[in-house]
Amino acid sequence: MSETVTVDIGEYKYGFAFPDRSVFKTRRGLDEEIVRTISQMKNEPEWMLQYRLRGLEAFRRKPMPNWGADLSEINFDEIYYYAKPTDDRKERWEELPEEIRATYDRIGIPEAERKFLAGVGAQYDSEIVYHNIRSDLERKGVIFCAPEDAVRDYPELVRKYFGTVIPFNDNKFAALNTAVWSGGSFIYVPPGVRVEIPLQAYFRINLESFGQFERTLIIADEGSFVHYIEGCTAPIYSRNSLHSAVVEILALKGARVRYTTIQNWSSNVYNLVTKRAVAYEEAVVEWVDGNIGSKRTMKYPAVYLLGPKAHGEVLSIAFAGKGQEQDTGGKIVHAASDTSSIITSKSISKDGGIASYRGLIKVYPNLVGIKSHVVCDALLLDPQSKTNTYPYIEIESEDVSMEHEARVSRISEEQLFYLRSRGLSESEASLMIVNGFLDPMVKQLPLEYAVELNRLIELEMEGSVG
Amino acid sequence: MERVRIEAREVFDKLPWPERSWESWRRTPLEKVKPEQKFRQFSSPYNHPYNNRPELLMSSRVLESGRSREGWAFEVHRTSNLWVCHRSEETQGVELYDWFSDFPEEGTLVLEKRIQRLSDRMQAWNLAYPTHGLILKVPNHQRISAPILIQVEEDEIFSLPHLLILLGRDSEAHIVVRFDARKAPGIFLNGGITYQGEANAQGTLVVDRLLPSEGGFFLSFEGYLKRDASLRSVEIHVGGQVSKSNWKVELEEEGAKGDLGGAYVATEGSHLEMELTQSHRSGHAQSNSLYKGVVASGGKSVFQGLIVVGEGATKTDAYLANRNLLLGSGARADSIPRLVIGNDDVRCTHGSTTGKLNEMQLFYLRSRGIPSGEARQILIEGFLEEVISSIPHVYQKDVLSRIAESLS
Repeated sequence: MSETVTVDIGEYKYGFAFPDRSVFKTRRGLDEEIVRTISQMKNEPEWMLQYRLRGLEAFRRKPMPNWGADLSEINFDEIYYYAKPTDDRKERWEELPEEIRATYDRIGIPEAERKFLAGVGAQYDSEIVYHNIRSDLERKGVIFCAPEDAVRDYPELVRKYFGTVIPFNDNKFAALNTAVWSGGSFIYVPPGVRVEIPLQAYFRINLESFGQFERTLIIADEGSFVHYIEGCTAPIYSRNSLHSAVVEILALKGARVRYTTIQNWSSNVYNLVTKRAVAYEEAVVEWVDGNIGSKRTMKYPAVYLLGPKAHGEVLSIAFAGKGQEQDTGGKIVHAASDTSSIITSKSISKDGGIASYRGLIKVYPNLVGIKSHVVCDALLLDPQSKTNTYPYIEIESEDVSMEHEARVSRISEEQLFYLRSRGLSESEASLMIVNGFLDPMVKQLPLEYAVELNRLIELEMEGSVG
Repeated sequence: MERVRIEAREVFDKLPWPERSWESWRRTPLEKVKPEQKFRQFSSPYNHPYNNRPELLMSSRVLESGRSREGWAFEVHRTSNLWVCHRSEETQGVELYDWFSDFPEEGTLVLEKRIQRLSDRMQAWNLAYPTHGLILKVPNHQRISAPILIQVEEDEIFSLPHLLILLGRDSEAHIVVRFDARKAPGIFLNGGITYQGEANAQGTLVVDRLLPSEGGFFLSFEGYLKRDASLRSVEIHVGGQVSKSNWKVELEEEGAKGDLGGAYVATEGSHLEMELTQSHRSGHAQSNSLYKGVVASGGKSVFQGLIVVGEGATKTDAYLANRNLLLGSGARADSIPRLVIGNDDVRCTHGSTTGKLNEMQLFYLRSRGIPSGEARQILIEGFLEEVISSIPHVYQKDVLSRIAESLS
């Protein structure tokens, strides 16, 4: 029998909550009236309201997924679908209500913004409460704002692209998001503009039994580059919350978009997110998807390679601790010749957690020069933990080089023994091995985030006092 | 046998017909084979095949008829509802029973185990309404080095055969099962094979089928391996309109070992599906699989592999590999190698690759004066060699020539 590795789950550092001081909140549950109310609160044009209502209909019609994580405990009638925390959004942290500001101070967003971000959006429950972008980027024509503002200020851009990558009826949760979306980010990068410093959005849920449904649309015009980072946390409550985002990315000819997620929801959040990108000729889309928190996550960032020489990448890291189920992975659809893709997945399961990789590589007929490489590594830290791998590979062209490999391992006694014989304690040794396991992934992050991620893993592993 | 049939019937009645919305049937063109309609037409109401045909009932035993051919230890042929056996001296102890005769209790127990685990109506159908079948039992300690051939000729368009193969303790046998349905165009064949290897039994099982250009072929295999038993298997699928096999090996006790191979060629208009399960019920067991396929223009293959490791199955060593070679545009290969791991003390890996013929190798062969068609043939044979080499030597040529023919 294997020896149990003695590492404790760390105390969740972001589990604090403030009292509900929303200026407006819809009642529990969801119906047409609530959708109309949300739309009204946002002063939306009629077409967006109609689009929401189509989403609501699709949500009611679509079945729950009969695969993946166990979602039987979600009660859609218990949830609050919209809560407005402040009257308007601010461009200075000082202008925010004290509790909201304290929240972001504790998470460290204002400090991060000063140090290494080009723009920040901060969402509290349903609304973006803070938004700022560096003026030099603004002068170059970069748009980074709340999607509600984009609907108002850039209607032609929004109507052209909104819902084109992920249609309103794509799946049950995308339909739900379409009906009640609120907050998120809208980014437009003009042709040839390179945003060298990342833009960040930070998502915070404060209420209990709450549903957060942000909507993000990123358009990188020809030859441009942008790196977008999102982080998320929530308080620990006994009742479940739901986070169901839709993220659409368009990388036009020669553009490159990198989208990094550090998901650290508390252990009562269902995280059911649809993320999809399209990459045109010579465009590159990279998803860096870190899932550390939440109760259940189902998320498979996708890249549709629509133009020749486009490249798609998914780097997925999942940490499934006690009571957690991380059902994550990536999808790449090769719909043009000379396209290439890489999916790298690393998961760690401990204390009975379940980590599953689920992915798809699809190659359309009559294409040439397709290359794809998929690697899944799973690390099990104790005998109770579980891991599953479900890679789907569907190939309809001949000129394809497709490789897939998966491995399951645990921290070996030899490795532990070696490190302990060098004077490391067992938990230090375990941590070092886990960090080594994640190293190829962490290297892909900007330095500051790599440090942040390492610190999070350390917390999960060591049981520090928050 | 009646007991087995009644129990299977009970399970069959409880299960629903497969639907396209189920993961394991999602890719199968069920509309082309219409199992439910076939059931109504042929199985319901069920007539015992020997009813009202006393001449068959008389022969519900296996006819012994002279010696086997050179290279084979043992041959059983089924033609016109009759099993005829040819054997060499070394195989006198091997027992053979017709499906509808009285056969040993241990065989009933193995089949009952299988029936309890049935979850698919197509598989239950085979045991609940069999049309013919054979039980082959190799006694304890009997080691037969030359291969055994079981040839099942199908001359009717509806067939539900079942073969039960029992390898006694410390025995050895190398068995080739060959379904030949070329004389039955439009056949619906839903076959089953159950295998049990007792402690330290060493078995080889090759299953091959020859199909007419139209028809549906379904096969479900389940093998149980006891302590230190080993099974080397190869399933061969060359052509055929709709073909779906389900191959499952249960490593029930410590030291069991499964080496599972597959070689398939999907030609134009073929839909070939293979579902493979390496089920580790006990720890300290080992399974390896290698499925290699060639898919020509207009052909389709689906490989669904699964390694399942139970919570207590520690020190498991499992590997699963699928390699596909695509020839020409319009070839389609799906590969779904899955892992479900229930404890941390395991070594489980899988790999899947899909690609085309290596241009450099083709160029090399052609530069040596080998015509392009022949060069392709050599490379395809080389690609499948790794799997084909596990087939008893006397049968290899037959398979290779059929593969060459199917691709020319």
